Amino acid sequence: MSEINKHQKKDSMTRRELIRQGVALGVGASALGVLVRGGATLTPFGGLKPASAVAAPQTDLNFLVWTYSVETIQENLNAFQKQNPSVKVNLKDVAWGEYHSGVVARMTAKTPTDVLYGSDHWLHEWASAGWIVPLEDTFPQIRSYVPELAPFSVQGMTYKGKLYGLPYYSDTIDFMYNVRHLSRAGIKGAPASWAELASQAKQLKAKGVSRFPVALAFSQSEPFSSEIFTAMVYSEGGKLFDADFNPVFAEAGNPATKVVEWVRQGLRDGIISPDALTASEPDVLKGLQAGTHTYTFLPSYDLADLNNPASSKVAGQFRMALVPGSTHNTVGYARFYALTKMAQDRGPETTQAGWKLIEYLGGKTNGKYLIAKKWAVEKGLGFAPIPLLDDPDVRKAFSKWVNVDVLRQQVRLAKGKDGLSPFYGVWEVKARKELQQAYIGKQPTASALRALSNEWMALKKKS
Amino acid sequence: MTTARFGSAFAQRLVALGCVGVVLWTLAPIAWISLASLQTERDIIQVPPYWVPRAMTLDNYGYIFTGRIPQAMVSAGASSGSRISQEARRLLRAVGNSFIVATLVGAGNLLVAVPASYALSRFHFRGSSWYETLIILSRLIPIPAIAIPYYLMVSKANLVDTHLALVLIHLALTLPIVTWFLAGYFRDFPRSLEEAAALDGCSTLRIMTRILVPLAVPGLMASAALAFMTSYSEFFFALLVTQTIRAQTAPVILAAIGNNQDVSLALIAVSTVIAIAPIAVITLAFRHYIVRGYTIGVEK
Repeated sequence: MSEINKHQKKDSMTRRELIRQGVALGVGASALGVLVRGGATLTPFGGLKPASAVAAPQTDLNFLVWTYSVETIQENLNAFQKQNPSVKVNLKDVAWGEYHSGVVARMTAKTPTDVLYGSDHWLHEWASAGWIVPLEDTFPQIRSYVPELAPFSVQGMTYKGKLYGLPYYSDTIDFMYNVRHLSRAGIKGAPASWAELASQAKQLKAKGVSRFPVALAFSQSEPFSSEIFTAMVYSEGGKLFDADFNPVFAEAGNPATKVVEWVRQGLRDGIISPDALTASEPDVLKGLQAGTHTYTFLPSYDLADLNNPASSKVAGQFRMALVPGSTHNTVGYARFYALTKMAQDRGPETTQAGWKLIEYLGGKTNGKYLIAKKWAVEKGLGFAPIPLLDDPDVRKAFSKWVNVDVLRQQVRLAKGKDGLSPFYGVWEVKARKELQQAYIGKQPTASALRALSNEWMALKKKS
Repeated sequence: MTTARFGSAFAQRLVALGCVGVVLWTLAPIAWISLASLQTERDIIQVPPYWVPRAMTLDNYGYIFTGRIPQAMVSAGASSGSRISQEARRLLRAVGNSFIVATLVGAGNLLVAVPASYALSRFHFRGSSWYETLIILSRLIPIPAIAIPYYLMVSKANLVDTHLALVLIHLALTLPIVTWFLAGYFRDFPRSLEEAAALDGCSTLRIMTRILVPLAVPGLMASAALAFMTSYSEFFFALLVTQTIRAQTAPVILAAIGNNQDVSLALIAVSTVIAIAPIAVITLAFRHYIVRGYTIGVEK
């Protein structure tokens, strides 16, 4: 045999061997794949066990949240799953701005969703649609939490007298001001009335301390704009709807007229920043952090950012005061964990697992509100459990950015939104637009409020 | 001849000035955001702003790539680090998802649109003229009107939160316009080459792949780039059909970073720079083809 032939023979034998090994590898991998798919797992010693011998029955829960601190949420879920190894939680998130649309799409398409974040302004819509279920029907022990939760939070989680969830977080719309600005203008203390606020703002403007002292998040796309408006009405002892869900805000003497007039005059006088009508919460926050404004109305957790030295040039200068007005009332809102009808339909195991998750996240573990406290201490989020106001860790963390006693006082004066109904969400979006027209004087206050009232009655009639 | 074409030297200078203005107008926000990405949060919100950054830092990029909290936040106190946006840490994976989906959409468009547009440009069949009209009309349908039906289809097919769902939706959005563009592009090619090839016995497929496609590279690159960029920056459907970082794309994560109260302008800036970097690189690399593809009709 020639040298060339010998090499060729060697090559072809090597090729043959290579192919043989490749086929063996492929068959082996396929077999392994089939076994793994069939539920077998590899043990540490290399053997294979069928699935039934390895995994205990597990309940899968699909948990939908809006996109905020998803890593922290996953940490909480990991801790929950460690305590409850028979439950696996699959976390999904949708951006806050599109959360409502995302939930509507999921519920319409019946995309598996077992536990989800809810809010007081969506509760009635989702409950009447049958998307979420009253927890107290299946878990009556949930009522034991009521005495310890802020009343506006309980109201925000209640539909037709039944509790639909436990709180994720709750907060109030609060009045904040820059104490150094006031000091530079020779102003002794925070305003106690709307007239005093306007007067102080004019002083600050005249002395060059702040060009536009009052910053408001009144963009049409900002959901907080309605809550801020509601807080301003409540602060004068007013309300928007009566007990029968009839609008009263357009009636003569209702503070809603005064509030709209105050904002309009403030824009005319230049004490309210003209970009208030396009500003959302983050915009107002950045303007305040830059030191360009003095007063604002925002949820209390924003005060933590205003006094955060990492992002705020005026850290340490912002204080909370009771909302100006004759009664100092404000609006409180609730975000909560809810169980879906889909979960209930999947059976008692899923329902029980869902309740366990909700109670772990929104209720007590070993007698303590662990997760609510974690959100409060780490992120400055407001909370519904009143006992946490006396928790030393919470007080210590909150004291870095707020006077806890003032906060406690404001929480006591907070009321839930009246008028919460299946069509509140739709009406509220129109309200933002109509109110803006009134603020800029495009239509008289009385006309704008009457139009809103008529809109409400039309929706009420249809529902 | 050039002077005759463009007029006096003054007119030429005016045109040049206009071009510089347009370039500055276009690049200024990118320059601003690039500079902001290298500053601390406090420096960004400075009023009046620092037109030239006072101090630059790579800490913001460090946070995105490594999770190390920026020094400015650490030095401000232990609790402040926990108020940093966690969503920003998902950006790299989101950019990867955007890239995967956009690449598949670009390739899918070429695979389907080339034969479709060739057929439209060369053959007359029943309804061919109506088809092009329908393509244009389909662009008039508001996206929100088809959002729920699309979601229902994706959900029924168990494709929620997958790359495939986005690829299919983006193909549906881009194929019509790419087909229409290429059909017009192919119509401008002389038929003589194809006729000669046909005489030599080439099949229609060979004519398309061996003669037309090599000649049409600039147009194909422009179409692929259009499809890629449309897919890469698409937000609405990406938001609707994704629900975890497994499939969430860059626009979805950018919106999440900017919407929460722990919003950080520095992180928004960094995230924007990182998100547009792949597009910028690809556009620069293929700019000759893209420009040629878009302008070849004008020249004729």
